[in-house]
Amino acid sequence: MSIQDELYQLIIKRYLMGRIPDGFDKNSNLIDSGILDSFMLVGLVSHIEKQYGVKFGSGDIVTENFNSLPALEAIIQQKLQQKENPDEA
Amino acid sequence: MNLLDLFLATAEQQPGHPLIITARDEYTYGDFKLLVDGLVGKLKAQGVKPGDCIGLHYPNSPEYIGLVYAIWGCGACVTPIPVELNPQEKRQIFQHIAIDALLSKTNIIADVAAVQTGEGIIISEQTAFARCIKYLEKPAGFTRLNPAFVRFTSGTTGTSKGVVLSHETVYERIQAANDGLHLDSNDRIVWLLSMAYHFTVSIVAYLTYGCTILLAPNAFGSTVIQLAAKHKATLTYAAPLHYNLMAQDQGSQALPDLRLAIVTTAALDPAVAEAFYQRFQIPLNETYGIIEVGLPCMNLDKPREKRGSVGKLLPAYEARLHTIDQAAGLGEIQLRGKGLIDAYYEPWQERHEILQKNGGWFATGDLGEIDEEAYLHIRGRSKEVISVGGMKFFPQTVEAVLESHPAIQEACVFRYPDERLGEIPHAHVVKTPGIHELPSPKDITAFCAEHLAEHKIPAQITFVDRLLRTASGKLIRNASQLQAPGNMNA
Repeated sequence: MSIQDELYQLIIKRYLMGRIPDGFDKNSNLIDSGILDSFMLVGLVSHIEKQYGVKFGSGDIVTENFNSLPALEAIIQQKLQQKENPDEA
Repeated sequence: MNLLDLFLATAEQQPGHPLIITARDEYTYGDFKLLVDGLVGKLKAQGVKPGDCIGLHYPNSPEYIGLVYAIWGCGACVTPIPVELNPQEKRQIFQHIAIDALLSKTNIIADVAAVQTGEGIIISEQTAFARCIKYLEKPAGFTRLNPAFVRFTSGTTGTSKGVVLSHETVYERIQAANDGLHLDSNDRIVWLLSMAYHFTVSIVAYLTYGCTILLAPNAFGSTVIQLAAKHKATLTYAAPLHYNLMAQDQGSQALPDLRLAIVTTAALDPAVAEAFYQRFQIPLNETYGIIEVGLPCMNLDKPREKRGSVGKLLPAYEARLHTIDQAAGLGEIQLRGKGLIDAYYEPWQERHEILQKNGGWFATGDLGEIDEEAYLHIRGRSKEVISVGGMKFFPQTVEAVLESHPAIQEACVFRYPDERLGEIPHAHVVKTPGIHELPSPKDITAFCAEHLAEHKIPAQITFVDRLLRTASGKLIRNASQLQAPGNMNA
């Protein structure tokens, strides 16, 4: 399962209680749609760090990195690459 | 008395004043009075009556506040069901608190389907009402206390679950806190915390004193700063995580109207306090809040000079230190004053019984030190609560889930400092004898995810030979002791 698919399933199951809002898909803006609230943010950071073995810095927790599933996948991939090649970080 | 009457008196005085502003809409005090009046009628039509206890399963919103006040308008009391909990954790609340009926946002009611008896009835656009399975009866003496809230707390086995707060107690708490906060109708307060955990010495105070609540749609620093600047916020009430995210903001927007930046839920990392000060030239006000007591201490006058202190006691409270280490000046913080807990719910224990054990003082279990200028410094929290980004829970909840895994005989969950979230849970686990192949941490995490909210799942799970205990057999949950070399080998 891709990162985007895994996070999409997580959001639907854990935060939307299995109900997909009208128009919500993997490219939806999580912030403008109001889906990503304060509490989901904490849960999402906790989940991603455990699931993918990456660590966000405080400066990574910004709207640009969390506003959509593609943006989240991009920051996770970047963190994974930094983990593999720490000298390039 | 009824806290609803305090709000109605304020609404009468300032019907056109904004009460809450969200990304979607804005309610004045007059609008909100109409909302509450309408909800009271609908709840009474469903048979909600004095003495009932209503579970409230609703996200942060104006409707959440309206429903709390409407429940009080029926003479009933509120038990919050935090929406971020796992369905099993939600059901556990109903198994320990006698809840007569449930109010839920319609799109999440499936999460509490297991406790419903019959179909939910839609009482407003997004709100459903349902009767619930009664797992137990209310304690004798419950209704006599005039309860406003029963807040579920899942402590250790054998310790009390559920805290009862009466209307009178909440009122005493907000009056006591306002001796320091001086809230009035000029205040505009940015709200970021869960209303299910924070309501009494905050939302009730704001509605009583005529303030405006600015409901942040999310916790990103840029969002909160924009909201605060746009509406000239005078006060923020938030967890260290939120201030950390604001401090990281790369923009230059100042917050000149902000007079207080209240920190609650967890100890503040001095580095976050300094980063916030450097970014905004505003110091953070640390506080000491306890569910059984209220908000007895706030560092309002010397937040920078006395950084690390939760301030002086407010006039309504007295503190003493029950000496533990005389040489170090350390002792257990014991408090007395206005608005102390009315009762523990299970097993039922009323205020006088709770306090008589310590001669009328409430023993917090926290270690502290009072300096020569009477500022209180917290030196150790003996309560084992873990606060992840402002969301609190007891480690025993997580240990029970870990110990239900067939490969785990026993578990110790403890808080570990985290620069972003404040604290995160870590776990040490001992394998069940006879198990040859250990499950991977990922397997255990997936197992936990079936039973626990995401923030409660340990970020690190380590197999150890044995759990560290005190001489009396109590689990040691001190991260630095646990992670010392020699304690980590499985």
